[in-house]
Amino acid sequence: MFSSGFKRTLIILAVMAIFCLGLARLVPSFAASPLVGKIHEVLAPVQSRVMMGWRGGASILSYFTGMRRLQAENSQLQQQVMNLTWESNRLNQYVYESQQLQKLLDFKNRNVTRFTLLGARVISRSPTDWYSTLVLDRGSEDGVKKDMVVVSDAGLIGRVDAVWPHTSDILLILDQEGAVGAMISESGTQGVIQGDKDNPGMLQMIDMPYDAKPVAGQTVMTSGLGGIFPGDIPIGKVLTFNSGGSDLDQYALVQPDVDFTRIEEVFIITASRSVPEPVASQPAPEEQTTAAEAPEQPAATTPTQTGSSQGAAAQTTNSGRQKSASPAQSAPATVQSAPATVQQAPARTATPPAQTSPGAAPAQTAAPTRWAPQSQPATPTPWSNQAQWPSQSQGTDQTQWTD
Amino acid sequence: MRSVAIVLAFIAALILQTTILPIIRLGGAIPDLLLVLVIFNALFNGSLAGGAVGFTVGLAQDLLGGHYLGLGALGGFVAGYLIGCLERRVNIDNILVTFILVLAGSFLASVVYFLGQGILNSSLSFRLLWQLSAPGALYDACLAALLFRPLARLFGGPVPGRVEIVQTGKIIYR
Repeated sequence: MFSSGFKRTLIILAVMAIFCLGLARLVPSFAASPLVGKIHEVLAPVQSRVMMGWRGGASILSYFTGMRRLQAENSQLQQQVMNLTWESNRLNQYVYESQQLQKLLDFKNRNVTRFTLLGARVISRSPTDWYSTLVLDRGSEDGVKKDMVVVSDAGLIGRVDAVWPHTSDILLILDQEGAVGAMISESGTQGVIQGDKDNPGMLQMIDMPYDAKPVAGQTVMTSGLGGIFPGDIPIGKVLTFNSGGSDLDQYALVQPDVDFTRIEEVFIITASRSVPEPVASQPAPEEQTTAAEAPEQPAATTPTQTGSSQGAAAQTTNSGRQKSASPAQSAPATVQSAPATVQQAPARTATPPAQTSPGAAPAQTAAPTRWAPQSQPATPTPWSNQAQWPSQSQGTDQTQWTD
Repeated sequence: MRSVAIVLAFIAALILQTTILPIIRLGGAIPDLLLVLVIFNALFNGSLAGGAVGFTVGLAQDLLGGHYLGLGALGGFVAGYLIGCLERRVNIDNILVTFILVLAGSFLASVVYFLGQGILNSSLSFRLLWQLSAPGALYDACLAALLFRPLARLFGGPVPGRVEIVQTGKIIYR
């Protein structure tokens, strides 16, 4: 059935299997045998050389493979760094923006009793150096009106020059046409702030009294005179004083508090609140008559009654000049004018209050005229419309700008 | 001279088998270069030579790293003897034939090893057998295909006393 060759093969295989299995069974542990030790000793030098060569070749190979891997990892990490840098810049921008907004919020909270503030963002700036203007994203539909004052947490920025339904144009105080009535808070020196055409970005304080000597570091604020800008709004700090050739040429160089190159968010003062005065709401006829009979009152009260407020305001800032004009009567006039102005103040304040927008206020004041012509200086000044602040004539900031 | 070269080849394969080859695993399988040489020797020199060389190489492998002395020798013997029986019955010039024979011989040696382990340990896992033997056999077959020409020249050179007839590039042994 099976060939002899096949049988022979089976026999040989069986014998070898028995032999090998018997060998495996009878020699359980041979690793520590001297024969194995000898074989290892003979092969060890060769094996170590072979492994050294293998490791050297493997390191060279891994250099190239590692190089490619490192290149890929490097480019990946560079991309990651770029992404993280962009993200970091974006987050830094958010932090800066958050800080700025927090400052604005703090400013608004500090002035919540004094002003009604409308937040706005700068969307455009003047493309030329001839004018210093900004465009904000608020307009008439948001309640913005011409000549409303624009401020930031740092200080005064300017006023609304033109209004459209959704935007408004702001004339900065840096502009030559954006002059502001100002005062040095430490000394009370009055003057006018305007842009310095020789030093772009800086301000000049002019029209100061002849004996004024501003000192570097003094604070310049709005005086509240002029009918547009409320008082006590920071403008800047005096840098230097230039006496010039004459009293008319002297000026102080003022560093504005606001960084006009980095304005992003601002506030528009849509209304300011005044402290109610403790006087009767209706002026007594005989008191008004008394005021009218005062020698210098006719010049003051009559124009007031006709709706001009310049008389009382003229008394406020130009009190020195008017006093010099009629010194004999200045004291009684001042005394007598006080009741008149005080009486008129309630009428004025009784009207829808805290309307700083000059367009509305004049129409609402009880006094028929506020812009009475007076013996004004020859040079018209931006703050000649002073009747809004009749209390200024008493030298105190009484009505609208008290906190 | 060829015998010396064959001996040196076996020694080099033994050194490589104990140093580098265990490092270049593929799928957990280690190539058995010694077994490939055994099978090539058996293909070119017959069953007795294949069996004897297989037994010797297997024994050397057991001494240098085996757990049971003799199991590797048995596996090498079986593979070398049985493959050597096919010496005159197959066309060993065909690389595919060599690939299949090395695949079968390597798997056969692994089966013998595992059966012997099962008898000695009383534990046998056919799943483990398949998991370890199949990749190893495939690896050996690929190595044989890769080294076919140098190994065929090493083992298949002119044999004294053997009549060789060359026909159109083929070597036919009688």
